[in-house]
Amino acid sequence: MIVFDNVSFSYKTGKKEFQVYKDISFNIKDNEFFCIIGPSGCGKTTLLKNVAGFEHPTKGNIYFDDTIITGIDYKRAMVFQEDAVFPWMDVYTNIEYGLKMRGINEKERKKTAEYFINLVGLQGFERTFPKELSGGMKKRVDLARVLANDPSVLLMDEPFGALDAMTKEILQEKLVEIWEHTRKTIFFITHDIEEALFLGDRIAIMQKICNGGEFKFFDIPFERPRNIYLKETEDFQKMRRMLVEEFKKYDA
Amino acid sequence: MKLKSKKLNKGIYKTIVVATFIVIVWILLTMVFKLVAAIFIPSPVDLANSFVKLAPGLPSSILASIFITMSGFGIGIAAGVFIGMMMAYSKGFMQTIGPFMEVTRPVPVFALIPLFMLWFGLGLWPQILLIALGVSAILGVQTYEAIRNMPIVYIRAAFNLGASKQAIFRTVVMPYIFPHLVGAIRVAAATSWGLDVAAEFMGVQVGLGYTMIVQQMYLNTSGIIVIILIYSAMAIVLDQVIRKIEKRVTHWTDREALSFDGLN
Repeated sequence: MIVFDNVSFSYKTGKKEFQVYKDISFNIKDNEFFCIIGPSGCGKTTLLKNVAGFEHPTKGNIYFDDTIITGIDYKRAMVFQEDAVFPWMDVYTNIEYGLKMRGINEKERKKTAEYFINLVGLQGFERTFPKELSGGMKKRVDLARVLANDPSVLLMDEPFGALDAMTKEILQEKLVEIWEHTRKTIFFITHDIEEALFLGDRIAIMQKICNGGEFKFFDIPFERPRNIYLKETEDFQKMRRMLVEEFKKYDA
Repeated sequence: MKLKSKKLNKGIYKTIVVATFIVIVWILLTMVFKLVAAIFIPSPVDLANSFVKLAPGLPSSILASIFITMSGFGIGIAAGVFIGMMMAYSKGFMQTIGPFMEVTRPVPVFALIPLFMLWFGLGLWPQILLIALGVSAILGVQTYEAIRNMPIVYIRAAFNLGASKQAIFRTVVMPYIFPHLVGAIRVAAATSWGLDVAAEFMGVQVGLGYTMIVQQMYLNTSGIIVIILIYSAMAIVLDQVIRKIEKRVTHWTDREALSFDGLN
């Protein structure tokens, strides 16, 4: 479980101090697919970075399984918005990287890497270098690399934000499938309402982030297993509309 | 591909025309009209004669110069990359060595030659040390700057996957910066030859540079030119070797694909 206990984050540029978020308290349950939606920019990524341990809150603590987060740990694995796949390693070497770094033997590494290569559908590309892969395939490599490391939490920062609509949809379906399979806790950030609705168990709308931050939570009732046709159902569209209206309230 | 090779052939054709023209002018000036004295521009025949005359001593001088230059070059690259990486790796190292490096780096290495001679004498090692110093100064700065320009996402991803700081330098930083060092390595190679010649001028008793100084004493211009040609050939070969290695180590980048063809 991830617990945010009265957490604030601010940074200074010159003499001006920017409050990214202020006095935030909420929990993310184990095995939950939790999404935050909010407009681009303005620092919702900061929240995720704080959980990953790249940066630390300026006030309050974030707990992971009852321990205060003080540093980076492979158990809290980040899938970055940017392309983080190492271009100097082929697909296979990228995917086994975390395992190798943690001193896992070659036999075990091979077994795990192969399993996840199959899971994300990259069979036959083991010896391909990233420069020859499309953006969507690189994201698959990134996902497999993180999953192979067996983290407890996946922190996903608009991972599909830079992809075209078709590839995005394919990967969303893949992610839902993988999640239903592994039930790892996922903390997912996006500015795409439809994406959050399709993927998540619970959504938080993060608003007024620039002057403090304010959350509104919504449970997503759709049954699993889910497939892409869910997006076309009436219930889905109604809920999407409702969330869009929520956004407008703040803008007005 | 076909288009490219056609273009290349056209380029070679142009080069041959220009080269032939230069040779003809050279022969006309020095042999047919005898407009220029042999002490300034020797004729092709003079060059051939000088080469034959120098030939017996050449293998040992060439070997000595290659040994000195390559040793200095190799040691310099290793030391430079190591220092550059240490400056990025350890704040303490940076704070201790950094300012010292900043002050000493702009000092021309050539200016240190007399001092080196005084301190270490005329042997091979002072010369190798001198070249290593010049090369490491170039590589140290370039390595450090290349690391500073790294996208932070690679470092964070590696940390997040469980890598230690040391492992990150070995598996992420080193492969990432290499393509950024190619330019500096080629510059350093050229500098190495220069430092070799200079050090041999100053008094080392072996090598091609030394042979060259002897030729100058006898006003043997053709001998000097023969040695310059040998130095050029060696420098070109080394540059080609570096480019071959570069191709193998940077195959994962888009360098090969980069082209400005068709742009205005």
